Amino acid sequence: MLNEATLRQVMSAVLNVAPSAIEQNSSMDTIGTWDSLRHLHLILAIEDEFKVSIPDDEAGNITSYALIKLVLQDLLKDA
Amino acid sequence: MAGQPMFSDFDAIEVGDSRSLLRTITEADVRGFVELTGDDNPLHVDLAFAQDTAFKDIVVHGMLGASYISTVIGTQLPGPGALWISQSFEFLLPVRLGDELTVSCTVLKKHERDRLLELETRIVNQHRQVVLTGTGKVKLMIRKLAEREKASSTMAPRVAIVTGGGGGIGKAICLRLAKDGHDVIVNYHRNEESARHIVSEINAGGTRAIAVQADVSSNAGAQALYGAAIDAFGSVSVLVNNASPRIAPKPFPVTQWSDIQHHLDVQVKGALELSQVCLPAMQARQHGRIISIASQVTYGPPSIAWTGYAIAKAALTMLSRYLAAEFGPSGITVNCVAPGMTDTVLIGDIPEKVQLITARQTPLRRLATPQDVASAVAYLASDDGAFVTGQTLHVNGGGVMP
Repeated sequence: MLNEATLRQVMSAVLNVAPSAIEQNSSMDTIGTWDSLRHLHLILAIEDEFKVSIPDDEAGNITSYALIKLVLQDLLKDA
Repeated sequence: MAGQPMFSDFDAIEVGDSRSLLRTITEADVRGFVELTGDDNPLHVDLAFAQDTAFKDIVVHGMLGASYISTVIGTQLPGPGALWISQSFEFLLPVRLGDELTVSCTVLKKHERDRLLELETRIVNQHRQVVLTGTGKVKLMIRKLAEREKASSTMAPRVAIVTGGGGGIGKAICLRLAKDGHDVIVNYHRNEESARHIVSEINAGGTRAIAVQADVSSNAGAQALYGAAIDAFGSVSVLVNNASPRIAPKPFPVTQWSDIQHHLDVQVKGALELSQVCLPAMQARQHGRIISIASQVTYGPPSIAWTGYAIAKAALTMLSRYLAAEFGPSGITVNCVAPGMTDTVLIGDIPEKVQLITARQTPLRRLATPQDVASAVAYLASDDGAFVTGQTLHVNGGGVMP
């Protein structure tokens, strides 16, 4: 089970925005601080927090909250 | 024979056809001619001078009478669009003021390739004396093709066959073409319930629709579908080749030829068979639209395991280009619409994650909708798309820019 509150906290910390700014339809398009460099930090922080390893070919593609959630749910289900 | 209907059609003109007009020559005509040409030769205008000549009276300008030959050519034979390119005259007798002239042209010869007529020209006076003879050549200009296209498309019936009309994209195309004023033949293979729903939705509006079950991949199926269309609506002006089997992805090691054959049969053979039955009448009307639903997979990075689907889409696209080239001169346009990933049941097999990533990687940040595809089809079927042929319209939000 994915704890979305935790995910929002991680994202708000890395992206330097309020947790309330992280919504279901948030993406690189809607959060100005979410650039490609921050994205790398975000992937590392998420892996750290949830103790998962996001495959390289997916890491670059999950550039929205919905996608991160989907991939995390998949990984946590297998765990 | 004056006042007969004009010839507007070169093909309708026959050797021996003749047209004439009657004209009484007055002093006002002579004055007008002098004013126009500056030819004030006293033989034509000065009675005293004329009386001192062998003619003993005023002689009307030879070219004044002859000029009415231009009137016959330009208004009657062949009529509007005529270009007079040569003429010989023998002036046999003088024309006098008050003479009643019958000016006539008769077709001696027709040169089809050059759209050229050889005419005998002749002017006879009220005493049945021939005052002028000669021969002329006249070319009948071709009207601009654009005018011809416009004329034929406004007269053309608006009837569309949509194969695979019961599916997601097919449904949107059927509803949109109906909204644009087409009667619609909703073809389905197995999707009967959906086809019936679409038909009742269309019939509740301003145009009519029928649902026709047919396997378009067989010649018999194509014939039956076309036959049903003709029975119901009399003709077909738009053919939309939309039918496709499910993508059914298969890794190459387990892909069999029959998997690929199935896609080729429905997508390519279906389009070919139906085009062949629809084209003769479209050619006869000099108007027709064939639109095939292609795919972004032909243009973007390959979607691994979609081998059969992709091969068939590529072949369909090429078929479309070849038909466009061969039937353009018949006023028929043939085009493709290539959608990116479209939100229908066909992509139900594609993981949500892949759909989301695809949308994220698309400049317009979403998948195509069936309505997006239908709008492109509607454009290609409309008069606005009249000069577009042999093209593929990419409806993919910028996901691939070939």
